[in-house]
Amino acid sequence: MDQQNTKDHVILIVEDERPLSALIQAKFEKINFDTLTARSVEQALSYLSEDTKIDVIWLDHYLFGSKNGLDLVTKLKSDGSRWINIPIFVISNSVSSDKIQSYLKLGVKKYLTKVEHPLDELINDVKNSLETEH
Amino acid sequence: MNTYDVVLEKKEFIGTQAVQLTLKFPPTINFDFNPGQYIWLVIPKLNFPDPKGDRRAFSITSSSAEKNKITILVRISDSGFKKTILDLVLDSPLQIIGPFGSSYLVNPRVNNKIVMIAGGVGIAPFSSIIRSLHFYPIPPKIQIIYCSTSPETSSFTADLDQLCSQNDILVTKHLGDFRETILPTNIDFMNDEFYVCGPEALINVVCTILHNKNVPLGRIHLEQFYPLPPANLTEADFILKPGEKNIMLQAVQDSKNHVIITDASGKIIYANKAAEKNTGFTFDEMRGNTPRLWGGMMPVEFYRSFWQQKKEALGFDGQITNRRKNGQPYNVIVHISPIFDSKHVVIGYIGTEEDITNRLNLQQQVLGDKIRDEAILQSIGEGVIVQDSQDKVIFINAAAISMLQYPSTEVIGHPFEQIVKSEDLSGRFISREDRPIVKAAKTKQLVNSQLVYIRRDGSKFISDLVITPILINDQYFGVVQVFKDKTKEAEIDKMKSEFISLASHQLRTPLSTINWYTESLLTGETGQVNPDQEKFLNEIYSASKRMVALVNALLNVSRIELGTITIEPQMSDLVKLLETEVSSEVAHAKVKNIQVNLDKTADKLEVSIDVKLMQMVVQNILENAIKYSPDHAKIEIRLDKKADDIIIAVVDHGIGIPLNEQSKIFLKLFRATNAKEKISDGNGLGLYLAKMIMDQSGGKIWFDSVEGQGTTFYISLPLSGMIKKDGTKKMN
Repeated sequence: MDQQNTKDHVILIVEDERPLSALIQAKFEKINFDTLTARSVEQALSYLSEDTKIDVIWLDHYLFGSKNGLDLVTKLKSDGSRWINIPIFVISNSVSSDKIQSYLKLGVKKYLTKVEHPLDELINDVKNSLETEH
Repeated sequence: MNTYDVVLEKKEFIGTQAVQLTLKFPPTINFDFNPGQYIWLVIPKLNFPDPKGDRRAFSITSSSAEKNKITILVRISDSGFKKTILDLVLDSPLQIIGPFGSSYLVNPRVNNKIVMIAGGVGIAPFSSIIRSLHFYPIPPKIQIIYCSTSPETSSFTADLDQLCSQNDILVTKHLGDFRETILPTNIDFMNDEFYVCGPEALINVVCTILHNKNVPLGRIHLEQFYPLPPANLTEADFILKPGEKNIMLQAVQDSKNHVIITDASGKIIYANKAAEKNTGFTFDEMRGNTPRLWGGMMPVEFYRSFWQQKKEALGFDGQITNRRKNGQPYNVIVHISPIFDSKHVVIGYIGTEEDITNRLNLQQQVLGDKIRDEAILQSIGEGVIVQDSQDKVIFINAAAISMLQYPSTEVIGHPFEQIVKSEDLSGRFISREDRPIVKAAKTKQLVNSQLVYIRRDGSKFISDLVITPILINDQYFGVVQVFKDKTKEAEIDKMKSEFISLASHQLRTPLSTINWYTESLLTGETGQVNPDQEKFLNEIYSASKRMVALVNALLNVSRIELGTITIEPQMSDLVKLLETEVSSEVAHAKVKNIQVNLDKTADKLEVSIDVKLMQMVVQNILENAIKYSPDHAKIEIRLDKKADDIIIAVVDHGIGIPLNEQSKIFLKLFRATNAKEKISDGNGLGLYLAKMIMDQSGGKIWFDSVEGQGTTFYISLPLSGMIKKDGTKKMN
């Protein structure tokens, strides 16, 4: 049986632009990640409330629905949250140094601008950071 | 003038306001009078007491052709005299003294039209003139304006109307008060003679109007009833006989206050030196006139009430405008008091005037200034609060009241910091000693601050404030605080910021999709790509990257233009920055075999700069230098520290900038013709951005260039570094 038993990591991809999320998902699966995709904060929270193992979050700022990435991070980093320590990569195209400061202040792992990096570079960045942590 | 015994022959009521009496002389008497004259009617025994005595003046209304009897028109009133007349039965014995009056005598040598203006029973003398027209060798041209407040004189005026139409006399009748608008248009103010008769109020109104039309006093004829009741002051009362001494009179004569004394009818019988000086008229010129001589400048309505009060022997106090002999208007406070004899009959009036023209002018000026200042202060959108040297608020403008919501009554008279509380931007309460206004008052120095003010209802707002000490000739008078509510500005900035963020996201997302998918194709992970496909994909990729650069530049430009960028200088090593920039451009330079040399004068140069912004400027200049240089060219970067500033020079030997386009090189979206020709890739925003950044941070950017030979760009910074600028956005 050549079933893949365990994946290296599980990533929750929170991105509402379908072409992008599909490509990101495909790339992570190629490097042996299990992937979950959500396009809204609501959807992301529903995954996070289940008893699922999630190792890292890839998060865009502007999302489907009324809540944005900052709302999600605020919630996850709140006192008593079980996800308070999960590494979060905010990968977004929106510009606002205030927003960036807010994300960094809340304790996200990194803030990266989509257009400034090839996708492969970003994927590797996430992979490497998870591996060095172990 | 003689006294005649007469009897009442006829008593005829004219409406309810007047009664016409016909008085018959003894058969042998020929009573000779001129039309327009008047008589004194004496009632031997009054049935009712009358403080004004037993005689009154009445104009004769009948024709002078009639020698044996005359008619007079009597206005009915409550006085004892008039009530007695109402009781008179026919054949009652009466006396007549007269005739008097010269005012309405028609001068045969004067040919001008006579305009007769009459009110109420004032028509009486004119009635006589008109009835006697055929007596004149050359009958005068006449027109009548008759003003009556009661419509009941119909039978009397019907006669008159008929007479007038027979003699071609224009009659204008008006019911109500006399007004300028009732004057017919054919009046010739320059040449007509004006006869005016009627109640004193009407006379004053008419005189004022005529005066305003520049009719000289000589052509205005008013009757003064004369002589007067025996109890009356005369001019003689104020003349010192030789050897006679009167200290009071001398004192009044020499007093600095203008004093005028008139008889009971208002005619001037005495004027002191000050009055002559004040009005510009000598007493001789005043004689025969009333103070109207220099009056008549008040609005028409004024005189109605003026004479009403005088008539009621109340005297008058007020502020009026008069005109001196030379025509100069002046303002006075005037007091007029009646002079009574022992029987409390008015025998004259004493009037004083105090010239307040200068005082009024000054008041006007000060008031004008005050109004202007008040208007400015109240209209300023910023809050203005003034505190005196005792630390008490003495002024608070409308904007401040509106922002703080304390009524001025609660603030004025108190120290500002006692009434209005404040927090710092982190929400910590600011104690009294730390309040900017207290610090400013204490140190007597300017204080700038940003804090949170707490309104009366507890709500808060962020405020920028400046407190300046008021120093005049080194003397401290207090402080002025000017502040504004920054909440709205902050809100607006936030909105602009969010808009740009969203726009950028929406512009960049499809570009990310293009880039990432193209990258995926190019790596071959979706299948091998043939050389042609690879070439085409690369074109797509580079075009997409250009779009990304353009979007970035546009977003930066928007932020600069919306004024929201932050400049946060920090001490940084300029040498290191330049080295970093050079190394990040190495890849581009290598493609064209271009060598970039950094010529530094020191290994380290610390300046206060916003690193991100400086990088952007240097990057733009360097990228251009590389882009527009030919292959194998050399580019030098020089860093110089001078006396006052630091200069970075980027020297290239590229295509240069055509002379006729050099003035436009920093314009938004401008690309020189030769640049466009050589390199299609460029958005014309890089230099615009660089200049904006340098200008806003207190630096400078300029260049030297010769087309075909090369360009040197210079960037300079003062030694003190970039100027800090608060904004809500950082550049990306």
